Amino acid sequence: MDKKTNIWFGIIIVAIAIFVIIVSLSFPSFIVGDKKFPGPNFFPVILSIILIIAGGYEILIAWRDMRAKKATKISKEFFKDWGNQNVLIIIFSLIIYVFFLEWLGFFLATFIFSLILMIRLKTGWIRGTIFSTIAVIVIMLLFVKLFKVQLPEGSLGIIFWR
Amino acid sequence: MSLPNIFQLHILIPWIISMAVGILVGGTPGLTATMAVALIVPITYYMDPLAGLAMILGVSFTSIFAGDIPATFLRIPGTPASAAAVLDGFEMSKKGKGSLALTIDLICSATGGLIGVLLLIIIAPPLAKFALKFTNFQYFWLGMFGLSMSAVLSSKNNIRGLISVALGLLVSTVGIDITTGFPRFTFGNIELMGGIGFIPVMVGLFGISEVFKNVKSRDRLTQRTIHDKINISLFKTLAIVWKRKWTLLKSSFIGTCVGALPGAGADIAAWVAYGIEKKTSKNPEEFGKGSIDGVIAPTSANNAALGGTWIPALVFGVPGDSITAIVLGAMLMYGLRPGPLIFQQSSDLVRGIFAIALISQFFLIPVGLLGIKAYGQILRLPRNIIMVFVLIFSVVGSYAIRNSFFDIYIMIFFGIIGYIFENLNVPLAPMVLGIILGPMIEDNLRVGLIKTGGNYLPFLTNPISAILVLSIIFTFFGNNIINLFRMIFRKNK
Repeated sequence: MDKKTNIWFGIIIVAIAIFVIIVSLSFPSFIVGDKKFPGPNFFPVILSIILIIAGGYEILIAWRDMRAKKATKISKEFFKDWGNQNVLIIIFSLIIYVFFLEWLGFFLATFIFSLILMIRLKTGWIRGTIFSTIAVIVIMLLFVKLFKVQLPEGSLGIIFWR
Repeated sequence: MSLPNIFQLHILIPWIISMAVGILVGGTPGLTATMAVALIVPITYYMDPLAGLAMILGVSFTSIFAGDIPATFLRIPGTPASAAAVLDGFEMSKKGKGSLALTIDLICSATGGLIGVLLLIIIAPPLAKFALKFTNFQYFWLGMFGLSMSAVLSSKNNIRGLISVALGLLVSTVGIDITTGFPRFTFGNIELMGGIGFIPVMVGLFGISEVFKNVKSRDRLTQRTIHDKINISLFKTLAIVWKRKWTLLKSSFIGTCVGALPGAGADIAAWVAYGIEKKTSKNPEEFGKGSIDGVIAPTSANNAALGGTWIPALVFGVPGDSITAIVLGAMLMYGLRPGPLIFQQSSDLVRGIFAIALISQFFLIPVGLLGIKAYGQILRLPRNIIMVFVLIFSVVGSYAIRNSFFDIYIMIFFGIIGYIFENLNVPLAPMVLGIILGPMIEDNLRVGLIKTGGNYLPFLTNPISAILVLSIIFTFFGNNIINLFRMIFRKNK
């Protein structure tokens, strides 16, 4: 793994820990009578200290290695790579899918999400349509009919399974 | 009621149906064994108590096993109890030995369950009495002992294992603080008040990150998800398991003991058994790379733990986990009073429960084999279809737990974290362990300190605590201690 990435990993861990400590300091103390007991911030602060030490160690090790060996730059080709694009497309389409679930309802949103992804992943239009329909029907039968899970109907109120 | 009565049709038919439902629920990521039992209980309201309990027992045993099926084939644990089964089961599956891993898993689940139930029958009262001796101090150390397994799970990079476990523990602190009622790290978000759900985290860390890995290669996407033919040879698998009978027995015993402790269920049992097996194995380097012992330990322990959870439930009316909590409610509904007197007042029924639990293990094998075959057929589809199915099921599974869109975002977030961490060689298993054990460790430490007025000494001055502390020390320094003894003995010779 890229040494620069390792440094960033360490920095992010330390930053998270410092953030947790800052937030934890605003938690109230836990006092019963005149005795002070470990409050809500006790555990998070201990964990943050551990993270700062471990993150700091990561930074030091990566920095030492980086001095010994010239760090490689993160490839500019990252975003051009078909596989990496897939990962990013899935993340964004998942977020958009969840957003649309609320008003398109489960049936439509899932069908569209599934079809788009299947086409992107080289399944083809016909197979994509068939398997997206199957996915929606299986989930309807399994979750809604059998397990009585209430799936989002959406603002449009398109309900196909009643 | 005498034993043969359980073979009446009005008991047998719902019993078998519930076991098939267990395969379906447990094998669906996001649907837990607890949910399977909760779904079955209302159906049993109007049934004969023994038929109802047969359904509950059947569904719980099969769903715990079935959770291992997607864990092995897809790296998505069907239930939290299957999270530890991912480690070696999936690695075997990657090598084209998925069906072998699952057949081993099935035999070990049935045997583990059998041992758990036998221990339930034989040592229920003394073990339950021992479990009730556990106070906050011992529970704290038990949690710490479980946590020490993270050192075993992060074999290559201990610092990154430590980071992973600390982050997991930190995640477990989100939500209302049980001791003071103060909301922590919720930032005014109502959804975070109840804490971060374990299922979305687990599905994200293991499942979504695996999808990301799979979609990176154009060639792999068009290939079948599993290559190996679902070739199940029970006798060949039995021979493999027989060679590792001590691992099976040891893990089943550990699973039952952990299950008998109220609050520590099948999920913790699986991790503890896996950790101990790796620690005591002659070939620890094989763990995480498709080790058969790594499949046997967690899968036998999680089913054995189910028998264990019934020990405090039946003897003292104290639920060992969320499943037995529901079962206790159902038993009260049937007019039964779990507790020491149940063995006298409803002895026929108790015998019936024991018999059903034992026979369920034998039924589990054909039902489980059908489950493996069915899933195996579905997973012969190309990856580009299965990965989209996995995404949709992960979304629905995460949503279904609390009917919450927020949980889906949690799943996506942890999917990204899982993917990044794996690229950075940060082990994911310790994080899961941290999330499971966090509340147990923190609550018992703080409540224990309140009881002692802030004095830490009582945490160490109890024999059970001392044994647990020694076990933790042994987990970290076991090899050094053994080497030291070897050196001393060699010198003496």
